[in-house]
Amino acid sequence: MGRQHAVVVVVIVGVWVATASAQTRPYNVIMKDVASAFAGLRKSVDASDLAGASDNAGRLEQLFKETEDFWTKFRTKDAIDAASGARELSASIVAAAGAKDAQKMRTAAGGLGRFCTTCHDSHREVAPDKSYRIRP
Amino acid sequence: MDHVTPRHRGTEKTFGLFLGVLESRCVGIILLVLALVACARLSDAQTTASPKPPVVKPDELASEWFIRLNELDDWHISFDGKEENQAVVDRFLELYADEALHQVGPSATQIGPVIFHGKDAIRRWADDFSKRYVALNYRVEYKTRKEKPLQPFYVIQFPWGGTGASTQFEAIFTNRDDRRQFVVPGAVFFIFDESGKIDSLRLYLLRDEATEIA
Repeated sequence: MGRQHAVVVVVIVGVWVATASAQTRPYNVIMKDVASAFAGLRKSVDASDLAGASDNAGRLEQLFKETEDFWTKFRTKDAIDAASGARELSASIVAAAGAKDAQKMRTAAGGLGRFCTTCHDSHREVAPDKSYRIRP
Repeated sequence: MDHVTPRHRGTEKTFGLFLGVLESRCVGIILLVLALVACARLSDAQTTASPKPPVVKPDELASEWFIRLNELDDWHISFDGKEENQAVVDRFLELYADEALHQVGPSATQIGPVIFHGKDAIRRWADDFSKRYVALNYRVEYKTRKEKPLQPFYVIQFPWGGTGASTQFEAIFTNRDDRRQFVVPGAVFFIFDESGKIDSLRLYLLRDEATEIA
């Protein structure tokens, strides 16, 4: 009984730590990871590398979830919509790659960039030193 | 006086006459100077009795309020998710006197007049306003006659000191949450104290006349 309780506590703490660390990742770090995964996805799609595309799209799906969570606390609809749209499209790339449907995968990957553009137009500001800032 | 010759006596008489004229002219000049000094003092006394003209014009103060109101959306979210609007809110509050009144219309969940008294209360309003709207553009309505456009402020010098200003404006703003953009006509009435701080402000927004920009 005591052992079972200990396992439950460890699992709960583990989930809490994982959730908390995911929520507290700085936004610029998330965006850099998105840029890296997005570049990897384009390379995989161009090379018709289904496995590589699936990996990168899966990573993007997770990153766009983090992005969505960041904006959800500010209730900013356009940013939440963009992040959730990108997340869903990333999931569809994973599914297309899994189904070995290269055409569908290519089409879906081609549409991903518009979600980035929509959000960046409203919420990304380039400072004079070329660094980025987040607009509300 | 024994050594004075008749010739000398004539000179002495002329000199005495000259001194007499000079003396009477000096007295006249002194009297004139005294009169001028008296007038100047009287004028100074009258000037200090009347209220001093304002250091800054009320229309310029009102115009500055619009600038700082529109700056309330000019802030950023930090990478760790903090809303960093305090600097623009502080700048907005600099325009208000410590015991200022700031009256606005009720929100969707309120009824009746909504009055914020004092800087702490006005800070809450400004903080909420700053986080609620983006793309703020409150602009004084243009009046055009004879091909001459003007953004008029109606100003008054109060007899008790301080000034007032009012104007009509168009509030253009975007809701931060749903990104819907509106134009709403409004009017604002300021009372400034003698130091140029806002003593009282009444803000009217005619929400019934709001137009959504598609």
